Amino acid sequence: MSRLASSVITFFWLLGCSTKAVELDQAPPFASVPTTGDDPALVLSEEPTSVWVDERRLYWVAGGKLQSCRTTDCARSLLDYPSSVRGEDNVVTAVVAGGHVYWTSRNTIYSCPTEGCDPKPLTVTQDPALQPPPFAHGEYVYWSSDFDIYRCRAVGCSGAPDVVASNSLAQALAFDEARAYWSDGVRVMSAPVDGSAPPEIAGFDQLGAFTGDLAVGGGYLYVSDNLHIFRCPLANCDASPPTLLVTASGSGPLTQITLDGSTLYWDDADTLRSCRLPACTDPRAIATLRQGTSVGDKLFAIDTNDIYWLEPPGVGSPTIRRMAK
Amino acid sequence: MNIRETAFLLILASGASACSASVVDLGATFISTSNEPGVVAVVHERVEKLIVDDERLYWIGTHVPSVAGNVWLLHSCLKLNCATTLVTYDAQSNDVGRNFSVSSGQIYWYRSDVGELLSCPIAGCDGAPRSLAPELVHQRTGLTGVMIDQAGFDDEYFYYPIGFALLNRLPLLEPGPHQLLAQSLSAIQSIAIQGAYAYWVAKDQIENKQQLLRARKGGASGVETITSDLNVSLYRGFGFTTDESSLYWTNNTLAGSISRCPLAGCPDDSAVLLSPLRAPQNLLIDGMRLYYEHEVEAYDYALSSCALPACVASALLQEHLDAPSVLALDDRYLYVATTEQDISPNNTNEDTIARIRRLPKLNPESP
Repeated sequence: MSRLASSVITFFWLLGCSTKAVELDQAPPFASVPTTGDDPALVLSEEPTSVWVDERRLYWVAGGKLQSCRTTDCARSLLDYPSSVRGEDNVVTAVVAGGHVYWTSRNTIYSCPTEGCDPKPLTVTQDPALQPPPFAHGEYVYWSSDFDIYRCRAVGCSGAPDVVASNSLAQALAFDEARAYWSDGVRVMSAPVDGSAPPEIAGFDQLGAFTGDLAVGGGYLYVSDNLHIFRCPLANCDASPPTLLVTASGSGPLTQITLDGSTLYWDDADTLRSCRLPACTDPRAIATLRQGTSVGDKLFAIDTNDIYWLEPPGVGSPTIRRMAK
Repeated sequence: MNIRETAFLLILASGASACSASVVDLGATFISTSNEPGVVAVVHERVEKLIVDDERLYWIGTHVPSVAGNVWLLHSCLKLNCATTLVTYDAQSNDVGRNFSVSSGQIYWYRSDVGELLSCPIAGCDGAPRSLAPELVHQRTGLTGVMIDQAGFDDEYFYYPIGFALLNRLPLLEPGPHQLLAQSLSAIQSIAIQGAYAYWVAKDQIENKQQLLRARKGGASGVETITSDLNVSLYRGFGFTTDESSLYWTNNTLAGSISRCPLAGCPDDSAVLLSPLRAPQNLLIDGMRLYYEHEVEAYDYALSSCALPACVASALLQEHLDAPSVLALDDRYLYVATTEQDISPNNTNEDTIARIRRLPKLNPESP
């Protein structure tokens, strides 16, 4: 805790709607925070740009630094992940999967176990042609380079990385157990997660150019063309026209499509919305989000119990808020 | 580095911009001998490119940490007595235009900061370097300091302004007007000169694929498309060479390869000789032996070879190269520069030391 005490980050815990600031060392456990829609989760000294969550921890990037804490005891479990081997660079973006957190800094992908680096991060790869953001699935991190989609294990690549798909660029990447799916700006492609077979068109070949997001779950593929969210069955996506689920409330874009069981979440021009699947006839606004500044910014995250999101700046101190699902 | 050398480099860097560089001795602490077998010289530079001729070894390198900005120094020495015969031709403050050429007793280099093509006798500049093409770039583009790639060969100089689709030719022995050799459909990404042809990589914007194209050096032919089956990253060096029957190139991506086509062009897809190979870059052919430089891991370069035509790969010939284009061949030896230091951009504080090494060539006619 001595390291934390010397940190420049001011870390406060706010209880309910009160503005009672508590020093980190004296903060109550995270689980004691009431979970209503108005409850802030974390107040930081710098604006966070992305947030992620897994089964145990909440992660965020703020001021070029990647940090995390346990969702059940945040105040006593804060972790700093060094931005690079030298620790002098800014974290650009990050992703979490399979017990590892990955982040990019100066064309390098680093990794650490989610419970902390030991003590330095591991350099997974350095690629001057790295196209952020990276993506993660299982024990692998995936990224687009100038020609190919690659993957490496969290412990790094020995020699050349695995080629998931040649002559492919993933603007968004999603996974099911066996395959990776990505939008290349025109359609959705897929290939085995290990690249053991050539890419195939997964669907939306007739949608026209789009630069939106995609998600996979429950046997369906969900795709945004920025103004709409469509769905089609993975097994025969192009057999019939895709089902229109969501239309943007304004001019879009619709981004960060996230599936959570039978609920679909998305960012509709800085408003977090959700609906119940399969019909999605009941879309509702959940929260106003901070405006994203970079490709791949994650403005909200969902775990088993809660939704976390980045509050827009200007209201007060930079805040990650939480509410029960 | 002592104060005298530091001051000298500063003077050299500033003086170079006025084209007043002359033969320079950087002092014994800059270059030294070694008792280590095969080490030609130990230099306090990051060596980026090597050339060898009958008598001399030429290289361009930079000091890390830099003492006067990013100063690039162009040197040569006698192969048999390198440490005491050092010649420094120029220092340039840009880290682009690192390429240089040696031909007919002259060394040629491009000063990207002032847009000028310069030359000196290989024994050293007796006074200011000769200016062959003042304001080479502005005449074409109206811009100064535009990055160019270059390939000097047979006393002609080929260049293209970065971002432009114009491949230009400039005779060196009798400098005159620039000649437009070829106009590509899109911006040229890399060029190589081999035999009677200038080869270049450009992107077909309609098909969104790169193409390997060529035109005769004299400009007497149209532009031929060799293949569209290549992936050349602009972030790394592009290796290209030919032998009597084929042309070879590096697909220099992280999971890259070395490919081959007949000289006449690829009827279909190219033949992949080695794959996957992490970021292969420089290529050289010696008889039936193909030498190639590649990454072992990030910023760790190695030299390997294979026996043609099958390209059965050998074990690594040399690890820890100083850069992906430090390889030269003469009749008997391979020349490389190596370092045990971290050469990634992360290492900006360590005083650079590189070893220029001479290795026995592998038999060029047998596997």
